[in-house]
Amino acid sequence: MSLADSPRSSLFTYESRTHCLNVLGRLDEQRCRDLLCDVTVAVDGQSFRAHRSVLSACSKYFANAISKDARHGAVLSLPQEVTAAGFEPLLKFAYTSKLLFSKHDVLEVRNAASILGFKDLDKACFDFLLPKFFNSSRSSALCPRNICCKNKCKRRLAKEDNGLTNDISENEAKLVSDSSSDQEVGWLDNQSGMGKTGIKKSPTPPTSGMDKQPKETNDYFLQCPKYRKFQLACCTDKTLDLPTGATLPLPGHSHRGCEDQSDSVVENPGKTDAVHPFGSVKATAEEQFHAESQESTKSHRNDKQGVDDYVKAKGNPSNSETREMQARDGGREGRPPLRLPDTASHCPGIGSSSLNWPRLLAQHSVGATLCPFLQDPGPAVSECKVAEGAELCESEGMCTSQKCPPCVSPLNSTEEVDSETETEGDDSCALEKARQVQLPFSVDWVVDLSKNDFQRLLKKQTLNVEQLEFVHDMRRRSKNRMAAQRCRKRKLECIYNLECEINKLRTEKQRMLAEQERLCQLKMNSWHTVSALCHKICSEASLLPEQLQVLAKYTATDCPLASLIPHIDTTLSVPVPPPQAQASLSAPASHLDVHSEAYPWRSSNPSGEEQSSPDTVSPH
Amino acid sequence: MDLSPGSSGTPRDDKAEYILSNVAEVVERILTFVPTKSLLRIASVCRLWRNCARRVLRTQQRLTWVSAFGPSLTDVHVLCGRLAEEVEKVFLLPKTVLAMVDSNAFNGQAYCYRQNKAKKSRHSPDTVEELNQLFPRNCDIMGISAPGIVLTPSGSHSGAPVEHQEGEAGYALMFPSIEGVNIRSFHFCKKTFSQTALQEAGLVDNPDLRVVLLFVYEAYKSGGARFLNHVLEPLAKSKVLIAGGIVESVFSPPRRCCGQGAYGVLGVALSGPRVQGASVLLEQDVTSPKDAEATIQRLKAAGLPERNTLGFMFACVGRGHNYYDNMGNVEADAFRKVFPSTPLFGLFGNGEIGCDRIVKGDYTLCNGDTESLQHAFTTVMTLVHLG
Repeated sequence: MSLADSPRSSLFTYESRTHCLNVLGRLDEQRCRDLLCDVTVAVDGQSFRAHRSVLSACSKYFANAISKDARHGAVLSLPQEVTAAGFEPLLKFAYTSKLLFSKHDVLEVRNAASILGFKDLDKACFDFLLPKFFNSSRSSALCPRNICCKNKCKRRLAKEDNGLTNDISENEAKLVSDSSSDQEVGWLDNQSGMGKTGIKKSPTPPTSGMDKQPKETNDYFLQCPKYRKFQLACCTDKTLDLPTGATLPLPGHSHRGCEDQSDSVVENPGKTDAVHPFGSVKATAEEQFHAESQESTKSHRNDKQGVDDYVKAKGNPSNSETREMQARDGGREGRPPLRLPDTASHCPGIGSSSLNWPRLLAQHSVGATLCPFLQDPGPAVSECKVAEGAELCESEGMCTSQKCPPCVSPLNSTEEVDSETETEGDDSCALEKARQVQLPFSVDWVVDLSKNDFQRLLKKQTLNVEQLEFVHDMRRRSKNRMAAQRCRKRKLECIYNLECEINKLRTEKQRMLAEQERLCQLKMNSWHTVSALCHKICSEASLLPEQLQVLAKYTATDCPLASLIPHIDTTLSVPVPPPQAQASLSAPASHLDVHSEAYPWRSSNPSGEEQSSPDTVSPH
Repeated sequence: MDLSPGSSGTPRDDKAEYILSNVAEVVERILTFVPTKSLLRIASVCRLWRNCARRVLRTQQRLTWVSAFGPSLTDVHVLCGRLAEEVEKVFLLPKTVLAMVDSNAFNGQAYCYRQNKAKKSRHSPDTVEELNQLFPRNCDIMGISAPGIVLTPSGSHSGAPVEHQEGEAGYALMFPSIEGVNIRSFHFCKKTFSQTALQEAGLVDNPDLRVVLLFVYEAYKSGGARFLNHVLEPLAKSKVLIAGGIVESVFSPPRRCCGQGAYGVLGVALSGPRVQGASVLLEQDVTSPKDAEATIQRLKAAGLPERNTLGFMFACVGRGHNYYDNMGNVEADAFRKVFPSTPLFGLFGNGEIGCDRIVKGDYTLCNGDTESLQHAFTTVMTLVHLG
């Protein structure tokens, strides 16, 4: 204040940008080490140590509660609605200005924040995220995703007084709260309150019962990218309803003995195996089918790709699920099967596995009519067994041949067919090559990967030069193929557009011609009127030769009068002595005398040419 | 009424003359109705007018745009033709121009079949040069061609945005120099990309950085993906809003360092305390208009001011009408429904860059784990508020 009194001395201001952050950081450090903490907050049976001043500065609730109760070392119990999982992130937020929450605890956090009246926490971020987390039809991954909500540092924090009293008490071991399933039930209740269909929640994603909603399977799909494509395929494939006990060998997984599997398939068709995603798939397949038409192209692609991928990477030919999948897929497609000898040779042991699966298929078949050997399952087991190898080859051929060009745009089916016919030779060649370089994964899968996934894959997998080259080559080719396709499509559209344009221009031309016709007619009419007028006037007026001369001089050639000019010239040339000529032009001249004064220029017309004028006019 | 009678003309003319050469308020008011290009010409009439014109120029802080679609009547792209006319009428001095055209028409692919001008590309150096001539010399022009274009028709802020996946279309967004908003464009290719280049562009170590729009071209070339990762890595860590797409090509600024077909990234960094932004990702499973609207509604929940706000939509070429059961314009319509008076611009690209984020004055909200910013079969909807 002494500085303010003396206006002459200059005022310097030192302002630290990091001070507020540092103070907050040190306070947090104190909290962690339980230094100077003067309040214990009891939530849900857990207790948290903190500084009163910080809490009351950050929250209306605490400001209120702490001002009422001024004792040191007080224990504050929060209302029952506030849970430990909801409060802990908020406490950290108060000390770090960062709020971390995941899908599991976002509702609790929001609830706690609104009850405790936390400042500097915009409700908008919850509004922004909640629909994302809890949208019934498409929820994001279940694995916790940390969301960081960072508040910009507030000047206010620097002003906090440090009237903190020394108070040491119990450790903070309890601080770690696990987001267990109880809490999830809690948030699910809330969620249904938000107008969502009640999703039955299972704490660990892989478990799925028979009665699961499609949403949940989606959840699960999104969680593990490897399963995702395949399962998308399954979900959208309406004919697929596998026995629930089946264990699905997937690329990268060490899988069990296939014979065992098929046995288990037969013996426990109703058993829900906790590890296996098909449990949910089964129930959802039909529901998903309704959505299938919407998802059509994309999922279609995934579908085939998934199956394909799965077949290739597995490398175990005698697996019953594979065969089911393939056979069904092939049957469902209903397209002429295409044999590819080398892919068929992938599955030599096909005919040798269990007898029971066709019957089983029949029991569970939904799309029986679509699959050739599902139509008469019981008696024809042996037949099936015989035919099975061939069928399988066919369907597998289908699978590989039907892969559509990779990546970006979902193409409509005609284009797909197009590309197939064009590139199938190429494909078989590529497959041959693929076998030679011994890729650890399928070609089509690689080709269909997004750039990102591909990069990731390359990082993960160690490929030799040959393989790398081949993979790149395949991707490049598929890109080219697609580009060519798009180009063709575009060209066709362009041609069509141009044709339209041509038609348009043609009609325009027609219109123009008609217009021209009309205008000509109009012109003729005006011509006639004007000439008639001329005649009339000329008949009334008799012009002097001088006047005629002037007229000739000022008349444009395309004027109706122009046709009269030659006559004017003749009249001018004939009379050598003007008076005589005037005399010779007896009657008209007298007329002209009458009118010449009144119409010196414009309307002066020699009269004698009236008859000839229409003839001279017509070729305009 | 203390006018001295003029030597010529009626007293009425004298009064007008006097006012126009002396009363700054009136002149200034009149000049607010004059388009900028004329304003600059007018500024050289006299000192008073120049001062007034300067003041008026400083008030022109709202961005504007020119959009054009439909077949072009001349040899140049429809946008170029339209732009030449419209530039005369805009009410701002462009500082940064973001122009996007559809690559089909612009690169001449669609016109290959015309015999008389076989393979004539509209993307000729002349066209680009012409485009550059339209704008002031110190203006940053970013020209991008993409497989599809989303635009709001010229003029009204509340015009219905249209998705043009086919056919000729293009738009040019013109940003004036706005107080409190620093708009800086950047362009990296393999050779020019480095840490210092990032710093110079203000993409790292820039506490004011809020929004980055970036467009990658030729990213599928070998090394392109790695390059893109290098560019995105520092941005993903920072808490700024990132949106963009993978486009066909970039025609402005002209590339001098790298040859034809080299990959690179072009972008614009918006920094300044007044810039705010929010974006959502319409993921692969958003396949119905209802879902799309619900997702865009989340953007609304972010609570950005409506005024002086721009919407951007970067979609995958695979989306659009193919994705919504042949219903066209679904996402643009959903956007219009949720944001009735925000212009929307964007492109259909070969891939999208973006994430769910809010960047506001007092807080940022973003995903903690830096998962990838690159997507396929999605649409990135972004709102950018320019102070």
